[in-house]
Amino acid sequence: MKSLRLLHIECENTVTKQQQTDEGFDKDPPVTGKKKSRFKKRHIEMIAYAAFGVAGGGYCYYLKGAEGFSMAIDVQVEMMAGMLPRITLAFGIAALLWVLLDAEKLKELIQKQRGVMQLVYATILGAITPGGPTSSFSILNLFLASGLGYVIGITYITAWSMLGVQRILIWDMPLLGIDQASLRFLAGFWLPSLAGLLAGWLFGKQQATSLK
Amino acid sequence: MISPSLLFLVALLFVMGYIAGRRGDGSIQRAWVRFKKQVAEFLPRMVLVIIGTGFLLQIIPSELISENLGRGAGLKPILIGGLAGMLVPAGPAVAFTTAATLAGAGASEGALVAFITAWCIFAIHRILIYETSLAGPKFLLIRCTVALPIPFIAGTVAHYLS
Repeated sequence: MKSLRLLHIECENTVTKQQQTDEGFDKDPPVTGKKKSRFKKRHIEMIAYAAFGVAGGGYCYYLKGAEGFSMAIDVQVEMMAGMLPRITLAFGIAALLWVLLDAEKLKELIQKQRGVMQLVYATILGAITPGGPTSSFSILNLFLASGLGYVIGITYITAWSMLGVQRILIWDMPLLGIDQASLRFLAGFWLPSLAGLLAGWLFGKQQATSLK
Repeated sequence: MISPSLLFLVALLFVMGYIAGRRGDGSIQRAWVRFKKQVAEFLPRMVLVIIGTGFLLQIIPSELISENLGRGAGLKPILIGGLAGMLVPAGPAVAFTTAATLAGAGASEGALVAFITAWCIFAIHRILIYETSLAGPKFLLIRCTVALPIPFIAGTVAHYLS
């Protein structure tokens, strides 16, 4: 059984640049020479976030005084108590999803489908592909190489970017709540197919067999 | 603070943990290693962003948000939310906590959907750092062209659904 991790390694030859992602799911293939700069980048990011907090705190105290400052602290404590347990749980779910998925089988399923069902499967596969751009663009490259074309390629990559289950679990649900997360999903689950069809209509004559 | 979303996450974790455990192929151990990595990577960022957001909520006048992004402003919030989402040059911690801040200050559901959807599809930092090298300019152009209306459509649908 091939997991996404194995598929990812298989595709390394097609995608070798930038092994990092903003969501941190593609950091397994170590790029030794880049470790130092990644470490540095992470520290710079943390310093920027800390500076944002300090500047915000200072400005809040200046504008609202001690009372406003203390109200902000209450809000922060409440947010942390509400969000951190959810986020921790969501990280656990995302980690399990990452080891349980079998992308190779899903890809074969897409190839077996025809018409609307192909769009449905491309949307589902896009939504459940964990990881950042390296994983998803590797799979996209395989789709295009196997002749699935822009319609399926764009549907898949749009579903990955806007409906990613890991993103909904880790960020949408804990931070915005289950109602808002469901609303976003309901409002948008059909839109990747629309984008795919639009791409096929506008650019279909250009045969896509690879990304570049 | 037990809520339906928390219960859902707990149930999902148990179900997936059970499935992974039944495999008996070390899936649980691999997931555990990944979980620790992710927590170490993102939790400190989350704490810092929440601290900054807490102050931001005090500083930003909520009238300004509800006037321009609230339900009462009609479809204008969707346009603003969609455009703003396209321009957020940061990762999910910043984008989602900004959305949570806006939600707390009275932004409408449609505006939030447009904002998050636009950020998900067009995150500028991701496009510049990753996608230009992974996908190449031609595919990127096609993707961006066909996806351009999506945040606004999603926001409008959410506006009428909510």
